[in-house]
Order: sequence, then C-alpha cells, then structure tokens
Amino acid sequence: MLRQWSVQSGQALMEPEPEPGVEQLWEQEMERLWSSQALVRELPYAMVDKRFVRQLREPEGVKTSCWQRWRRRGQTARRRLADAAHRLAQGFGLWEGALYEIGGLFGTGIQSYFTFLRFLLLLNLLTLLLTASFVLLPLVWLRPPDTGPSLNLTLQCPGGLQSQTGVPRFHNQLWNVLTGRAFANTYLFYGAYRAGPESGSAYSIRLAYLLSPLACLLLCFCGILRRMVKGLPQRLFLGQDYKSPVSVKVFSSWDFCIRGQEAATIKKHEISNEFKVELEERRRFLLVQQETRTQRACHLLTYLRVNVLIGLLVVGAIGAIFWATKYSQDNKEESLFVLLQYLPPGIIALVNFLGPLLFVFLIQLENYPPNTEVNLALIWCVVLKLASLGMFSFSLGQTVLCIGQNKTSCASYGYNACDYQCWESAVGEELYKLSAFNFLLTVAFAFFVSLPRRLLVERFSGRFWAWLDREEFLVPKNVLDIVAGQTVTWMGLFYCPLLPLLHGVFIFLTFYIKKYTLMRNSKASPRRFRASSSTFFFQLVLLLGLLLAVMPLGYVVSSVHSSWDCGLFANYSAPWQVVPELVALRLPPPGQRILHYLGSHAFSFPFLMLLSLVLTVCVSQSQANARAIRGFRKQLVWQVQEKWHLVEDLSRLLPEPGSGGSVGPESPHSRASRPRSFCPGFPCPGSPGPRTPRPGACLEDPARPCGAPVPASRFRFPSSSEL
Amino acid sequence: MGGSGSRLSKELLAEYQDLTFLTKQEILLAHRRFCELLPPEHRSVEQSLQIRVSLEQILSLPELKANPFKERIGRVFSTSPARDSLSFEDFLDLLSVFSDTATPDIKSHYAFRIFGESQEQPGGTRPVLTQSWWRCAAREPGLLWSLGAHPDHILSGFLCLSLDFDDDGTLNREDLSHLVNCLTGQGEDTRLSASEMKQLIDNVSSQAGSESGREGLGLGLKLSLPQILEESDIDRDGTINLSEFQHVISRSPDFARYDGSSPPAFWFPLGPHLLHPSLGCRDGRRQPG
Repeated sequence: MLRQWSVQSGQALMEPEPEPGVEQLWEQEMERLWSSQALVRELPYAMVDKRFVRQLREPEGVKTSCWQRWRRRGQTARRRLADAAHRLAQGFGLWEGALYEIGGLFGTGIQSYFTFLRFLLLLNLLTLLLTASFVLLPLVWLRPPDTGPSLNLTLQCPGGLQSQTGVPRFHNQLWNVLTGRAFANTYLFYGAYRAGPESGSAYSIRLAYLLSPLACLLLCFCGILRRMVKGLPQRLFLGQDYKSPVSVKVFSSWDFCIRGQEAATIKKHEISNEFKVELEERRRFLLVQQETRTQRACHLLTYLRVNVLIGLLVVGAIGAIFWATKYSQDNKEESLFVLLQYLPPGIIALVNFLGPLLFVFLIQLENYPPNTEVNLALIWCVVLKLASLGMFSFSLGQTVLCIGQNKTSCASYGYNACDYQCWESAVGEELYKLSAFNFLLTVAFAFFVSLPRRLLVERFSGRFWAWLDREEFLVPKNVLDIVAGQTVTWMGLFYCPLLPLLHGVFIFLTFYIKKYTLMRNSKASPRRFRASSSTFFFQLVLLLGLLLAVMPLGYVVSSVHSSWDCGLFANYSAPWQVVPELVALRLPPPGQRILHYLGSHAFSFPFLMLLSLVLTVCVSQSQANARAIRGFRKQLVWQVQEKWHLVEDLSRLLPEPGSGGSVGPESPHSRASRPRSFCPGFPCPGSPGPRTPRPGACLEDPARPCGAPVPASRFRFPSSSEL
Repeated sequence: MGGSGSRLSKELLAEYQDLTFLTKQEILLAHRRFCELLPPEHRSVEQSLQIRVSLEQILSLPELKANPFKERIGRVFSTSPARDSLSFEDFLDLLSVFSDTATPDIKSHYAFRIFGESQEQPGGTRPVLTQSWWRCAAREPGLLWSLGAHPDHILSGFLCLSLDFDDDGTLNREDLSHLVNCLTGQGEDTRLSASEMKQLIDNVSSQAGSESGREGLGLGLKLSLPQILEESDIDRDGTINLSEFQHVISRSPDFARYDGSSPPAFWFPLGPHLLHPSLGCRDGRRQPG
C-alpha cells in the first residue's frame, strides 16, 4: 500500500515535477523502518508493505552469509519451540473444542470457569505425579520390610478398647467404597505405608512422604501467585482512589469470541447494564462526597448493622458444623450410623446452600450501590465456605487429638488412642467422605434439580413457572464450590496421598456435567461477570484455601504424635523429627552446622531486617515514580499548549489562501459527497480543533475548503470552557 | 479440500509465518476457510491468492457475524481502493492481529483504527490527497514534527487519511459515542440516553467547585466524575490520540498476552468449520430476554 500510495499521489499531482517534501518524508519513514530493530510482523501495516520493508532490510539478490542463515534458522526454531511450549502449557490442548464452543455461545466470562477447571485438573495431576514418583514408585520397587506394631498398647479406655478395624456394620460393598472402608489398607491412606528404620544410605521413604506434600503445596502456591499477579488490574490514575476506569471498560469490554447473535444480544445487555451501573455509582459517589459528618456516621452504622447480622449468622453456621462433627464422631456405634457418617458433609452443604441466599436477601434490604452488593455477598460467601472447612478440621482435631481439651485418653499417647488406632487414616477417611459427598451432590443437583426444573418450566406455562424459570449458571458459586473441593484435597495430602487422583477424576467428570447443565438446562445470567478481574479474585480465594490447608498440616507435622500402630512415623514424636535424624545421619558435620545456623534465630532476625529494608526501598522507589509521572503529565499539557501557541503564530505568518495553490488545510475530502461537520485531516494543522464553534461554516458548503476565509485565527487551542 | 493442489507451498508458508503471528496450522486453516468462501471453480491455490472476496462474504463468517464492529474491521484491513473486498493476505493480516500471540502494541494500534473508523461508506473512490495539501505539508515539514506527531503516526496518519478516517486520527466525542452505541446496541432498553452518554464521555464535572480544580490541570480532582475523556485525555485537548489510547489500554490486563488464565480482549480463534455444528440450531433453547 505504501507503493500504491506513493504511486497514487504521484498520479494525483498536476505538476510534472515530484514534490520534494513527499519524497523526503517517505524516505525518512522508510529509513526509520529499515534500520529499526522491530520485527517485521510487529509493524502495523498491510502484508504487501511488510514484504516491502522486509525486502529493504534483506534484499533477495544479496547472498546471505552462513552466519546470518544459521542465525535466522535458530530464530525460527526458537520461535516454534516457544509456540509449542505455549500450547503445551495451556493444557495439552485438552478440551479445546469444548472451550471454543462455550466461549462462542456464552462469552469468555463463563468460559473462564471451565478454563479454571482445566487449571485445577493440571494442578492435581502434577501433585499426583510428584507423589507417585517420589513415594509410590520407590515404595513398590524397594519393598521395605513390613514391620508390625512395635509396642503393645496398654491403656485404660473409658469404654473398653474398641477396635476400630472391627467388622463394619454394613457389608455393602458400595457403602464401603463411599466411606473409604474398602480402601483402608491400600496406599490410598496413610496407614498402609511402612518402612524400615532409617539408615545412612538407603532411600528414605519417610523423608519423601513428609516432604512431597509440602513441596506440592509450595509449587501450587507459586503457580497460583504467578497467575494472580498476571491478572492484576493496574492502577490507572495515580493519585486518586482506584476505581475501575470507565475508559478501559469502553475500549476492551467487547468479547470478540462471541459467535452467536443471541450471545451478542446478551453481551450488549450486559455492557449497557454495566455502564448504567457505573453512572449510578458515580452519582452516588458524588452524593456521598457531599454528606455531612452526621450523615456519614449514620451510613456507617447501617453498614455495620447488616454486616454484624451476617457475621452472627456465620458464627451460628459454623457452630452447627462443630456440633455435627462432634456428634458424628461421638456416636459411632449408634443404629443410625449410616446417616451419621455423612452428617458433617451434609450440614456443611446445607449451610453453604442456605447461607448465600440469606446473605443476598439481607444485603438487598439495605440500599447499597450495586457493585457493593455483589462484592459484599461474594465476600461473605467466601468467608462462610472457608470458615466451615476450618471448623470441620478443627472439630476433627478436637475429637482425634484432644486439642483444647483435657481428656485422659489423650494424655498418654498424645492422641485419642482409645477410639482411633490409626488416627491419620481416620482423618483421611473423613476428608475422603467430604470430597466424595461434594461430587455426588454436584451430580445430584445436575440431574435431580436442574433437569426436572427445565422440563417442568418447558412443559407448563403460568406465572409461577415463568418466575421460576431455568436455572441461572452462576459462575461465582460454581467456582467457590470447586475451590472448596480443592482445599479439601490439599488438606488431605498428608493423610490420603492419592486424594489428588480422586479429585482429578471428579474434576474431569464435573467438567462434562457442568457443560451439559450449561448447554441444556441453564440460561445466561444477566449479571455481568468480567473474566479478568474475577480470575484474579478466584485465584485469590484459591490462595486463601491453600493457606487454610497449610495451617493444620504444619501443626500436625511439627507437633503431633503419629499413631503407634500404623504408618511411617510410628516411633517419632512428630513427623518432622525425621529431618533432624536424617541430617545427623547423612550430612557431614559442616553441612549440619550450616543447617543449624539457617534454622536458628541468629539467621532469621538479620534476614527479616534485610527483607524489610528491601521492601522500604521498593516502596519509596514507587512513590518517587508516581511523583515523576505526575510531573510528566503536567509537562505534557504545558507543551501541547505551547505548540498550539506556535501554530497560532504560524497561521498568522502563512500567506492567505488565494486563487493559486491554496496552502491552507483544504479538506482532502472536499470532493467527497458527504457533508462534513468539522475540519478534518490529520496531520493537517487545522486539527484537532474545536468542533462546536464552526459547524455552520463547514456544513453549508462542504466543497469549500474549511478554514479558508475565517478572519480570526484558524487554529485555536480548545479552551477549557468548550470542553 | 485436502488435495495436493490446494495446499500452499512451503516457501509461502514460511514467509507468512515470518510476516504474521500465526502458526503453520492456523495459516493452513485460514486458507481452507478462505477457499470455502470462493466460488467452486476458483479454488486453486494461485487463484485464491489473487481473488478478492467481497466484504459481505467475509462479514458473514461466524466469527465476525455477531460483532458490532464488523464493517469497521473489514474496512480497516481491506487494501482495495474502494475498501470493499479482502484478499487472502488481508484476511491473514486480520487473523494475525486477532491471534493470541500478537503483541499488545499492534492490537492497540488496530483497535484505535477500528474504533476511529467511520461508519459511512464513501461515495466514490479513495479520496485523493490534493497537491495543495502536499505543498502545505512539504513547505512546512517542521510544522508536522512540531505538533509532536511521531513519524510513525504521521505515516500512519497518511495511511489513515487514505483509509478514510472520518476525522483527524484521533477519537473525539462523536467517535466515542458511536463506539458506546455499538457496544450497547440499539434496543430500547439498552440504549443509553443522551444525557447518560454525555455524562459518560464528557469530562465536564457537575460540581462548580471543581472549576478551580481544573487549574490544577485536572489531577487529583476529588469531586469530578472520572469519565472517559477525563481519564484518558492526558494533554487535555478534547480528543484521544494514539499514544493516549495505547497508554490507557496498556493498563488493562485484558490486552496482555494470553497465558491461559483469562483470554485477552481483541482476540478470537478461528474455527475449523464454516458452520459450526452446534450453532446451527439451538436444540430447543428459548430465546433469552
């Protein structure tokens, strides 16, 4: 096109001699492109121009040296490798077709949920790979001797020693699978792992078993943090409170993946709602700014009121979970054993179902701005979910490890040896049950609630059915569910090492179930859901879940006595004690001294001080940058004003447009037939000028060159009153 | 479609890989999709590289059909004089800019051109730059430089002129209101009213007290409504030029490179079939809304 352009401009010239200025400008641009290092494909020109530039840079006739050819081959090879790695990192192309379909029909907001599922599946598979390669494979290969229980338990139990591995009440195979009894002596649970005493040279299964959950959690932490930082919205307007800028929304809110007309209509509704909500927020913000002190205090009180109420509800809910877990553990011999097995997961699910409905109802009673409503409800749902899981693990700890209690049964061995011979397996079973129950609930909801609902709504018509309507596919709710499931998996890594495999299978099946629900039984939610900022939010929730899972694990690994009867750490006061033992056995004395130093206070205090120093430097640097940016903005505005003054002076100096070559900003489009309402022509000096003062002048006579006989200065900087 | 006669040569493939952001599979897929748009007797490789497809046909692709900016996209990427048809290379350029490996710079550059593109069709052929205009520019080349226009933008400004920008290479209020109207659609309940549009776009605040704040060059105004122009127009001239646009867009994580966690704005994948089977009929779904 460059060539066409130059040819055409050549044709347009009436005069025979070429214009020196045109050639000069073109040559300068060509020179700049020729010598710049930018890749050809990054130039914003058409293909034919890019080819031209490439030819300029590397003329075909010239023989390229071996070195250049080799370098170019290396570059293309590197690029292809990067492309392949990129595709691989996106998940081996798993489910690409399905994701494409969902994105086209429903937009990228809902597609982000399914992409998140794929990410979690990858995390679980990586965890499993790590565990299998460091623990399972050596175990199977080395076949350590199976040491039986090392001591006889002699203790006085209140109700007589009850064997936990006794005959279960139900011989039903399915029930055994669902409760985990069927796998009690397999590698699924902690109890089946055995190893001989530590020696100086053999592979230490114990160390591998101890460190692999910690390593997996660390890797997951880094992966999530990395994705979170990438999706972080950056502060646009320094010096002001961060509000999501409207301009970014306007420029980047259209979802180019949409392919159906219905999806486009829905998206337009969403965007329109978003703009209206944005305007509403701005109006409210203004009103709030104008409030007096007392009004602000009143507002704060009403804000507090609803939050305190919801807080009380949450406390009540987790109290119920605590009670349910205790009851279920205390009454293991009841006739209703069947139901009681699943009581804690049932109560958790009920609480997490009713809670959000109540929260939304209560929050809507107050008159909040719409964004605040959504965010507040979401935050409380997250708090409820994580608190219920935390309370579940705490109450488990209470019954099994007597945390915070003074039961005599825990005094001798550090755990409740009367009720649990192998308490890690018991805890693993509980977490297994929770995970399985969540999955079964998902399946049940999909097939016994959404499907009948859709069938009924389609079959009948009436006000009730029209109000009921199909189920909305709410992405936040679904993401919270899956994050809770992943938190349970992480909690159970130590007690149930193959739980990631199970959870991976569940995620795989959940993908197809949710896809079916979405395509057949749901309707799109009218509530807007922005993929990028919410991806950040859900990575944040995932991170919180990870931290929640790490805390009990850290406590158990470092301070709780393992079972005497089963597992790998039978003779240690805490699993972590393996590490000092191995360090003493295997490392040479200097290495031991270094490790001791690194773990001592003498190292950690200076390290902390160094870290805070680095942090201070970073913060002050960013503040200095912010000041510099403000200064540059001011400078930019002054410079533009200065330029417009120059242009005004120039306009006075240039000759007036006469009969011959009119020099002024004659409209290049003056011969076009459409009416112009303003002076066009970048980089014609007449632009960007003010639009409003001269609509009349140009509209009347579009053929007349704009800006011609205007006695006042043609070029005016738009004053602030016009803006 | 898989016969040896209809495949691109290796050198051509390598050249296209150099000049665009597409991979080999994507280029072959694009060629196949392009050939599906051609009449059956013209589907050989040589003809597919020379024939131009009309804009209506390109805009009937499922990837573009529902897009409110489809005409603008078609016109920006078209290299024909009347800008109503696309060749295969134009099509590749289009896909390259919308691919997931394209740099944010090039995406924002084309986004700016698409948003600034006029909706109307010019009456006749490409408007011609008059000789007097050239003389003006030629006599005072320093004028152009002194306006702070980067050579890159000047040249693209020339190109943009010939590409029929309806104004001066910047986004002014009319462009922004066109843009918002495209985004919200023309339905009665979704369309923004004139006052809402004005509030959204203008940088006039409704507080009298902020007038004094304007002397502080609009920074740190506590009482103003941060609207589009207020947020993006750094040099306060009432329009958004390319640099300001790129500055605004670069802050949004949507324009960053696709890393699998969230898809970027300004991206769509090319599907394998012209008519995706599941988009044909909706299996009894009701119309929403």
